[in-house]
Amino acid sequence: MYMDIKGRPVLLTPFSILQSNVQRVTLTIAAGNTEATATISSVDMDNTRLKWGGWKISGDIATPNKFGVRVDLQDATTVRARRETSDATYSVTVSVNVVEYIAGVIQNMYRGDITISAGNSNQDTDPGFSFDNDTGNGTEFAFLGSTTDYSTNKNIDHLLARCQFQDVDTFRCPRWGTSGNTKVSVEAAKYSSTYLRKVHSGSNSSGTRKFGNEQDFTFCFDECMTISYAGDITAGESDLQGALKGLHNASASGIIYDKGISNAVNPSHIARNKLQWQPGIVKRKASNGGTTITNGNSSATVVYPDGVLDPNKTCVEYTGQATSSYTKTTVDYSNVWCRVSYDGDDTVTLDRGGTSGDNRPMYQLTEYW
Amino acid sequence: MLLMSEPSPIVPEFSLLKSLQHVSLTISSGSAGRTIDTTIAAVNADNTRIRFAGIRKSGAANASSASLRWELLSDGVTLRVHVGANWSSSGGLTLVVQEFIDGVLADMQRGTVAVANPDLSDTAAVTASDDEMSELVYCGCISTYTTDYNLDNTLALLKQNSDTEIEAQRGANGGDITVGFELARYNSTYVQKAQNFVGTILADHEAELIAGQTNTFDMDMIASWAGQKFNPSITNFGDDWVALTSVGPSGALLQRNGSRPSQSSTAAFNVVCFKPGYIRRRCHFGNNFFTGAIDLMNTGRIASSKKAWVEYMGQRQDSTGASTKASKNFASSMFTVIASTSSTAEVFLGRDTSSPTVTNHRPCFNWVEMV
Repeated sequence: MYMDIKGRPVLLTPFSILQSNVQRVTLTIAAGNTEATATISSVDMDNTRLKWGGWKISGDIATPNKFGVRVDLQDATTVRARRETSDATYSVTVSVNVVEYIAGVIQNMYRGDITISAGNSNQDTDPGFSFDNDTGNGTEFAFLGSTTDYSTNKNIDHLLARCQFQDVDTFRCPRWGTSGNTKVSVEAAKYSSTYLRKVHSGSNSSGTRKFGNEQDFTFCFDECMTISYAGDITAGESDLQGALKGLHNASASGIIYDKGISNAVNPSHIARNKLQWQPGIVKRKASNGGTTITNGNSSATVVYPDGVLDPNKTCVEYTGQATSSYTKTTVDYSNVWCRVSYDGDDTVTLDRGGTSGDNRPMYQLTEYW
Repeated sequence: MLLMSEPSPIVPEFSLLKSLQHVSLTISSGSAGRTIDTTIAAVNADNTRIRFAGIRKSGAANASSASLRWELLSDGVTLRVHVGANWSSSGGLTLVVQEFIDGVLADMQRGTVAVANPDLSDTAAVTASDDEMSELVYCGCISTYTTDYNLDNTLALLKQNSDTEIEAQRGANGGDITVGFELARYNSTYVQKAQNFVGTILADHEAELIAGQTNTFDMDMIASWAGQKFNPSITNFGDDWVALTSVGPSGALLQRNGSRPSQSSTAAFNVVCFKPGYIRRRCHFGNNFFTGAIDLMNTGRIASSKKAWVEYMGQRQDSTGASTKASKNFASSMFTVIASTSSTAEVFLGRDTSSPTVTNHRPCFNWVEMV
């Protein structure tokens, strides 16, 4: 039996940790509504993770209380999307992948809505179990969207939030603004080191740079490294070009942080989980940091080699985005917010509601064995 | 849950590798101007690539004191190293001889590009080679520059200008240089795309993402180094060294020292994107400081592998220091050997042992295991 450097058993043979086929769900909260649900094949909620696929809005919604969206696994057969307030004219659409693992992969699971109250910029939560960071038995803090009752103007400082490790029994959800009440949907999953060698939750590593390459898990193979998104906050930037960030290209060298422009004023505040799987669990992976939805278009596609991916074992997660220049307080956000979706064959589609300006949504595609 | 007692293939495909040989050479202090021939196990030269794993040098008299160029002769058994006329002190070189099965390489051209004083660049004609299916690989450089230690004059990169022309570029025009190359054209049966890229990290930036081949998977992409040129407007070594720290379908990341010098730096590399199923594992190591030996996660898993190699991907030096390029003896700390054998999971990072703590280095390499 082979051991890793800490003496733990290591999987060598390809081994599927999926209990059931990956389910891909698209939910549209229609004009006039605040909620949408989708029925899925029954899953064990304690062993299941939702993978955030990003969001799009169908038109120029005036305030964050109407376009902010969060999703959750409501029960074993229902995925739910919600916004705080309905909009009479425009819809909000989200994509979610449902991944059910075999028993034992996730040791503890917490899911809930974290409320950051008016006047506050963060909220700490004890999920009821303890964890390490950057070691085995680590916990992934996954962001599944945020909503707010803030309705004064378009300023998204109060809506956008992230989640991340704070200490051994607490995770934190910060935002940049302090107005209104904001709810963040979070799944905190503590993994067994038999399957996931390390998890590291954190943020801020790219500073003010256009690109950063954050190091951590160096002594591993590239295909064992995946990313999950944990939210992004604006850091007070007035131009979304300097405010929004994305992640891609997880490898033994680290993860590339990418905000499309160097910015000497405010650092990056995107949060992420770096997941280092044991060998033999991830079959293939890919990420996007290059394909752009260009000005005048509402979508773009990335087409992978035909017949290679197994759709039942493949999921796609949004990992942030880089934008061209948009003024945060006046932009039509249908041009900004993007989602990513895998068609179950060989194509990942990047799309948005509007067509103005360049947007580069990023994602992690993972095919499990 | 399955736990195996022996390593086993993860991807049940056939191997594109016919053979793999790691060759580490010591170049003695009296080797100036010589050609050193090493006999290797016979390969078909037309099916073989020579991968560069770094040079280590113990002391130098000037910028051409570490000049080496290497080539595989057409007889398939001679690996020839050309040692520059100004070579001084001892040093080492690691190369990997990678022989593919028939049909992987559609064509292989080997040769040199000469750049004479006072030129910064020159071109060479090559037989038509599809520049979206070709890899243009750096095979060392011989320089005649002896004025000082300034590598602006001697470091060079290789750029594929078209299907029929390649170019060598350097940052400054002292002395003459001769740059060796391999131009490998791949067969589309096994390779999706192969391209040469030249990337510039702009002034006040410390990294640049070079977008290229998006429609593929991480592990099917293999990079190779095509050299770098130094910028004469940058004073310190540490600001100018460039490394390829990450390669994936989202792009390749070139990085240099975090101090963000107000001038640009330029390097070249290739990305060969194999069709799915031929690469078993890889590890692009680009962000840690020099640590001597790197244990690739755990020794057992790859101990029996005969199909893994390492390749130099540039380096970063984190201390700018007070020394200028012209006065700094680069050989004391600037070059790195990355060596690996097929019988160990460790990758050894070496540099001159006489002053190993002068600066902090982040040597970068790509470790790849084929099926």
